[in-house]
Amino acid sequence: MTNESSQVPTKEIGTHMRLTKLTSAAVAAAVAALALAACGGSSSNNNSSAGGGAPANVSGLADVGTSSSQQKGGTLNVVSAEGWEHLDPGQSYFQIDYLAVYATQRPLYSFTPDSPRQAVPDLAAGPPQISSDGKTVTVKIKPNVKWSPPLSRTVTSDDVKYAFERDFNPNVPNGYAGSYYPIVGADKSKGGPISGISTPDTTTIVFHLTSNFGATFAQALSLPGSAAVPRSLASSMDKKNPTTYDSDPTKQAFDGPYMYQSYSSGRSLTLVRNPNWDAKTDFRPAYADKIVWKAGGDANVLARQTLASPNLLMADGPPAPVLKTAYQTKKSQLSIATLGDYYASLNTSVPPFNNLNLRKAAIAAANRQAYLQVRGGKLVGTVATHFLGPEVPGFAEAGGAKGFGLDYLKSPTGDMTVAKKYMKLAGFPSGKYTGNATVTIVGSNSDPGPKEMAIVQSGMQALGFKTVLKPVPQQTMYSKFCGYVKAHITVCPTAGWIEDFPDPYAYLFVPFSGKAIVPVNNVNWAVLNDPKINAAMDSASQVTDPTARNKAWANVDKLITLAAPAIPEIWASNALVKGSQVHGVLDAWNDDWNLSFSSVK
Amino acid sequence: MGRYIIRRVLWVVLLLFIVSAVTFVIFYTLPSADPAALRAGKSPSPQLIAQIRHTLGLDKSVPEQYWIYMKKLVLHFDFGYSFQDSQPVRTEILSRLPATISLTIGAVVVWLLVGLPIGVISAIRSRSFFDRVSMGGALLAISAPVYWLGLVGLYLFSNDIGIVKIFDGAGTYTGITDNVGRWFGSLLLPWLVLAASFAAFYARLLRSNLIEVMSEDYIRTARAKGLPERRVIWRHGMRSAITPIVTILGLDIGILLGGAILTEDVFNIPGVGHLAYEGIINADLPVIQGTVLFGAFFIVVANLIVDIGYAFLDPRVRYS
Amino acid sequence: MTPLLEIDDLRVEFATEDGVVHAVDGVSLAVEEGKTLGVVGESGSGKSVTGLTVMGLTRGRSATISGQARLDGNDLITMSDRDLRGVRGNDIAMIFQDPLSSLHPFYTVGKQLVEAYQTHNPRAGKGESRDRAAEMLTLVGIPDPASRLDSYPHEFSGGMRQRAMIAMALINEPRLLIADEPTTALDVTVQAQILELIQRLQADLRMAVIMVTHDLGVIAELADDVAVMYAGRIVERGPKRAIFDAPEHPYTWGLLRSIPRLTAPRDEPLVPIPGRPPSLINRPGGCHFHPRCPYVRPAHRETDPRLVPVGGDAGHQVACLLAEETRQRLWGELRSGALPEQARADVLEPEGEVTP
Repeated sequence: MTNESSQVPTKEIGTHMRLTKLTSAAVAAAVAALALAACGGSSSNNNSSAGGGAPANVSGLADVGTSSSQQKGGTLNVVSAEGWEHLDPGQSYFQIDYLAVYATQRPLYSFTPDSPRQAVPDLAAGPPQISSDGKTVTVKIKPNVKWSPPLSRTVTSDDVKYAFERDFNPNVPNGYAGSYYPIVGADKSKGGPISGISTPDTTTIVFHLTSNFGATFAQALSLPGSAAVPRSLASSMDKKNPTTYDSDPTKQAFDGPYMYQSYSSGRSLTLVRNPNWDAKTDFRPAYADKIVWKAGGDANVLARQTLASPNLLMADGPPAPVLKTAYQTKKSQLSIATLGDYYASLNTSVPPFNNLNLRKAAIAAANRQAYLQVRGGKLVGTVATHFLGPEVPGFAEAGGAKGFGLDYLKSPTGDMTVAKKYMKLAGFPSGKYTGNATVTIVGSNSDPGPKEMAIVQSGMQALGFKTVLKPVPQQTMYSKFCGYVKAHITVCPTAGWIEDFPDPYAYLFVPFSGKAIVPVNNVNWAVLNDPKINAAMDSASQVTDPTARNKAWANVDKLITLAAPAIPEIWASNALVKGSQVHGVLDAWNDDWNLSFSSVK
Repeated sequence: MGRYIIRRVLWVVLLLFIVSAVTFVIFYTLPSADPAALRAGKSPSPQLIAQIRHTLGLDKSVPEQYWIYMKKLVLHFDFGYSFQDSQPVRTEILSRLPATISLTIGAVVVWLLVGLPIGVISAIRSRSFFDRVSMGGALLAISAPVYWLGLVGLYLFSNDIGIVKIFDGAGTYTGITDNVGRWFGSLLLPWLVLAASFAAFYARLLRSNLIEVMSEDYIRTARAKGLPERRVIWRHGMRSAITPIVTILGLDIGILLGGAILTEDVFNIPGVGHLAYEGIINADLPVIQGTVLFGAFFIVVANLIVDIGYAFLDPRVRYS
Repeated sequence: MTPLLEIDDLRVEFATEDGVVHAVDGVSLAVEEGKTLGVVGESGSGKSVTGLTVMGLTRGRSATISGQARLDGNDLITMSDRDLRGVRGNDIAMIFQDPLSSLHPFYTVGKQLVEAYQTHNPRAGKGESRDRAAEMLTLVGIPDPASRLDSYPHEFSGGMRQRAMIAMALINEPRLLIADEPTTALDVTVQAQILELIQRLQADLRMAVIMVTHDLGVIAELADDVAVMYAGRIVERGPKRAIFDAPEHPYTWGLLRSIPRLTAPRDEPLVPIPGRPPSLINRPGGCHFHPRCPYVRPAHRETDPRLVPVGGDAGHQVACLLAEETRQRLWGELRSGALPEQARADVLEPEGEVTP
């Protein structure tokens, strides 16, 4: 199979909600020769212009922004190589699942195509009120949102409360509630009532948190786990293991513009208009009358079908060969946008890279430009100079594409003079490592993994490190090596990270906070546990004011970059393809189509 | 004969138990991802993983898990739920069977209609131009990977992305009960692609069988009786040459009913093979177990039918 | 009396990858109605190919056939396939060496008999054909024929199978039966029964028989006339009495000495013919038998002997380059128990022309 890896859904590796497209880009080596500036994507997307790391001078790409010329009506046709995992808003944690979930369910807050960095009230009536101690968050919901038939009643604060209760129900395994929703009493609730949630009236819900996490908690209310679920309907289903609210989404109650007409696991789903949905309560234009989505099949075939068709949207990314064709001949059907990053973690807990100067030397010696080339060149990303990515708030404050002007990150092709300098500082005056620690490099065994490993290896060898290469399947790399702390892997050069929502906390906390280190499925591959950074993250996560918050997180990014826990490789760009006539609108934060904004014409 | 069949059926049951046990053991010994960790999401607390492990029943010992699984399976024909998308595995498999059966039966018809006549003509006119060309072509068809053939077929002949727009393309599969015409149209190309290597194999097999049979003494006897050559070939030659092919056909059908993974994938036919493939890449034990058992079931049952059928085809086997 | 079958200068060559096999090389034979012609020779002598060619069973792309085989004056060699099929199994029938492999394993004996009958009696109904098949089984001595019709060949014993084969061959009352080593694969006791059966049926049906065999014992039992074949040719032929009492060809002498006879003295040693049959692709020059002949003279390697009458008797012919008188003296020695070397020493050395 040509594109086996693209079939691997995100959650499998426990880290990438959107691995699919990162991996497709990864095999885009064929387009390496194309000389063009990276990504940036759509013209009307403010994320691309604001992202200093993504100069948007690729002209002629599809217009994937909203437009006043869009018209109502018709059937939107969607295809994807992958099937869905969980369409239950409590469990949904996968890029393409979000397309259907955000069209049928309304979280408290949402990112929209026009507001890809700042969540706007969705079911909520206005911005969250965060207490000054950051431990209480109060949300008012719209009073006039109705559930779909047959329930057909008004959505109440208890429905939201129940949604959070079930986020902690073992029968509704949620992938992030434990990280983002530190509600008092939640950890012991097992799906029962949570003492930290109260509903003073039918439109008000109050969350009491175990820490002063309110500012970040409020950001995470944009995840589908905050979407209301009617207790009367779902509680009996949630007693089953697994809950049938997930296995048969047609049984759900919907407050979004669409509801399921039919669903066939891994094969097809059909969305039709929710008759009880009132456009006045929602920012979603909901142009299409009907959405028909067929899943499964070979990604190459699907991408070609999409390019050949007038009206298809493909929900997962085109494989490299089709991406190349699309770029050369059907640019107007192609979207490229930035999401997530790749870096080579340097394990700070074991020799030799428990030494800061040796880490800086390793970064200085690395040819990051070569890394970008083997991944597919400028079409799939730009060389990163720090960690926070272009699509996240705080990027500009962190110096944009230039970064912090550190000498060991200055040359994208590597600088041996700088590397030697740090080797000397580390106590190796010859510039060559003479210690006896071996560098174990574990990476994906499928292309371009081995090439990436070789690039990192050659940098290390130039500094005199003894290296051992261990190519394994990407999934195994995460589960048995890089994400398994006891394995003590020195370098993981083929790992990547995508934030759950466009907030610097989501971008930086899990990969670099010492508090996020867990024995299994660990994402802090560098095992970085720097009290100063941990504390800076804690305080930055409490900042509510956007400007101050961005500054605080830019500072965290700087501290991390100075701690050199990884070689920043690339800020990744990902592609999408669409039919020639359909107006696909991109949800930049999810880097996928927004079905409520896309229109047939 | 009755006792023989009973003995064989008992064997089938035992074999299925062994297959299921082996699948369990392989799943737990080979290094793949921990399903609980997969489900737990990013950077999970150990408690969350433990909780999910308990929910999925993975905290019990492997023999105990196996016991529970088999108990449910035997008593309730319950294959459990997919770790991946929580669907009941039995429903998933049963709802995908029609597609797999459609694909299999159609392909069988195609490869018999194509392969057998070519095999017969090649045998009768062995070393002729026809024989050399068709056997050369058969060798190519056997060596062509079906996935590649499928892609080439789509790029050349599908009516959406093909150069010559003849057949319905990938993802057009329609159930036979929904629309017979579209069902047929959507499966034509998959049938041809799946049947290609089989047709080639059967043509070669029948050719060599028939050539061998036609040199048998009883063929000489048949000719000595004054039978027309056509009757010698069809009644006497084919009767013997086809017998081993019927047995192989039974096994092939059994294997394909377990899922033609690659063909189903490239043409996006929602069959059992597709399900099995997804199960494997997702480390989804209940789906893997269910599809493997189903596949094994079809194969051993096909084997049984073939063995019993052979006794009817070849009287020499019957009494021994 | 006109012979029923007259074979005239029959030649059969097979093109193989190694070269042309001269399987039958100018054979002429005749068999009269009700009579038995024994064709004897080692394997590879062309005797079976002769029989098969008469049936048209050697026709094919690799075979080149010339000469004539006239049945009632109609040449079977040039006859069309369609006409020949009307003769096969109808006027001429054939039985083979191994009855197990010669019967189709997947059809009952009854079906195979019925098929043979219906092929030449297309209007015969199912019941009639079955009755006829049962009648034939009775005729060949198979007990309980009605139920045996439904048996498969593998359920029969070897002798029974050959009886069934004979029943099938004779179901259309052919005028000529070609029996190709019909007893070779059978037990000795069964052999005699089968020969007896053939003899009886031949008398009943007034049928001519060509008995192809390597076994002179069988010939002695059945034949009226005998043809001895070697390397695709007839080297001697004549009435049975002449062949057994006054054989003229050294090869015939060899054959006679290589079989046990009840009449021979007990201590008389059996003398197999030394050497192996020649390759039919590169046959020895001159007399084809010369490499194995104990009495060979240099000239025999050059000259190809022709079949000539013995003592002016057209009924007994031999193809040997030795002088008639020499042959008679040699046979005299051999008949009195002398070994070939002895006979050669006694007869040929005085003549002064001894091969080293």
